[in-house]
Amino acid sequence: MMRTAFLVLLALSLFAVPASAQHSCYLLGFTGLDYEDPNPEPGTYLAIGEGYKALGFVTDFGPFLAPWVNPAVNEYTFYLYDLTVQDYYFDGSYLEVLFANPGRGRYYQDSRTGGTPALYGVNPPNATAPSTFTDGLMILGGQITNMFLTYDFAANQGSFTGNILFDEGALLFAIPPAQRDGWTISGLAGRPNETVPPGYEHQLSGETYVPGPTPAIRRTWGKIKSLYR
Amino acid sequence: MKRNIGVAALLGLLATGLLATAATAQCNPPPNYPGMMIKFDQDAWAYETAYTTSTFSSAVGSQLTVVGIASVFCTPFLDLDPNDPNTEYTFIWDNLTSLGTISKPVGASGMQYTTKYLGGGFRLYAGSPRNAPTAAILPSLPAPGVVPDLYVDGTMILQGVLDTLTTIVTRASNGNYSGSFRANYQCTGGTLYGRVGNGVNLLSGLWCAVPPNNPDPPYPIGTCVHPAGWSAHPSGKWDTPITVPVKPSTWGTIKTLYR
Repeated sequence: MMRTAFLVLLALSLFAVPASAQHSCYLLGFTGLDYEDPNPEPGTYLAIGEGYKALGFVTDFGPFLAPWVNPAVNEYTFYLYDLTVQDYYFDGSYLEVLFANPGRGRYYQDSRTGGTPALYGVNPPNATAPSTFTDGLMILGGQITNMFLTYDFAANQGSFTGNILFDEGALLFAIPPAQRDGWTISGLAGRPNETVPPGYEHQLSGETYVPGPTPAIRRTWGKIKSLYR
Repeated sequence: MKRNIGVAALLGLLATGLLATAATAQCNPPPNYPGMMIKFDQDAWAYETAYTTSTFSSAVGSQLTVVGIASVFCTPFLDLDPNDPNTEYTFIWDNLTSLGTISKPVGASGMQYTTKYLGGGFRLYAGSPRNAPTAAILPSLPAPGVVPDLYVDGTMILQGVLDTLTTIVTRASNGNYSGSFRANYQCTGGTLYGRVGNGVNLLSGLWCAVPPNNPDPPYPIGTCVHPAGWSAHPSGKWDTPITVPVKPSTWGTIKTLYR
């Protein structure tokens, strides 16, 4: 009887077994533009030592942040910066660059009635970019590592992916500490592209994710019992 | 009375302006440049008739379909509310025939998977009630009666064609993934076609492929886990074509309407 009760308790405590990997949880979606800054070698896109920056608007929020934001009242923007090219590969049509660690990504909230509308302008950095994308309340920010960018010049499209570890911001509390090591990914659409003004390189459309909660692995009663025979 | 009516009208106009402003910040294009027209974020997915997830490969002749739910509307659709509790705006891209995936080594130790699809089109619907699955309740495929059915119900407000849709999935040398898609689109019909016209512009964005063992782990960074049967999660936008008219106005002009 006692052995049975013990096994039941043990089974209940062991049922939630951490999996070796986790599902992802959508944090937010965004759209924007990117540019080089500094750009000491204008003739080479993202040469070693050059800086990469991206900014724009948050267009959608996932379940963690949705209860705490109000797009009807506030404008939400983002800014990725401090990303310096460390490794460079180009074979004539395919470009792949890796950025030095760490960079940083921040997300902002600015009142639509009392704040300043974010404006891209041309040839950034300029009078409004990035300043109008980084004013207001910084709601979330994180360190970016392992970021890479690829671009296919034959297809005029590319993408980037980077890890982002959230460590600051007024809404940091909304993401459980165990789930703050996320990643950000985006597609890039370059010229010919009517939406990209001078000084910017690509149009961005992407998302940011954080790890999902640790899932449980199903086990049969027989398997659990066999652990203790 | 006249002054009271004028004030009430002005307040009504101001309220409408504030509602429109909720979308316009994201819609704010650079000066003299077209911006995005319609965006979709977390609620969009792709599936094919002949796709191998372990190699990110689409077979020649495979039929690609993308279904989703719009998340943002900009000019000339600022009056459409993607969060309307009684109306959902869904879309489908279909009749996209694969030319087969070309995979090649890139970088120090990466791989690039490029697929082109021809002959496709898209349709956007306004339907009620909101019944299309969202990311939270996405079913495995096949899902008869649900996919694509619940994404193509309601009134077809926009229809068009796509030229070559190119998807590129890249595994970088660090083992992480990224991806993109790009096509030109042209509207050809729908109840709201008159707002857009037949101008051509981009449909582009993120193409997040499912991981090789989807839905089982491992889940490399830059892949998107989904129930079995789906091949990718796109997230992107239709940009506004040049044929969309813009009518700027001034505050003084608006005020004169109510004097």
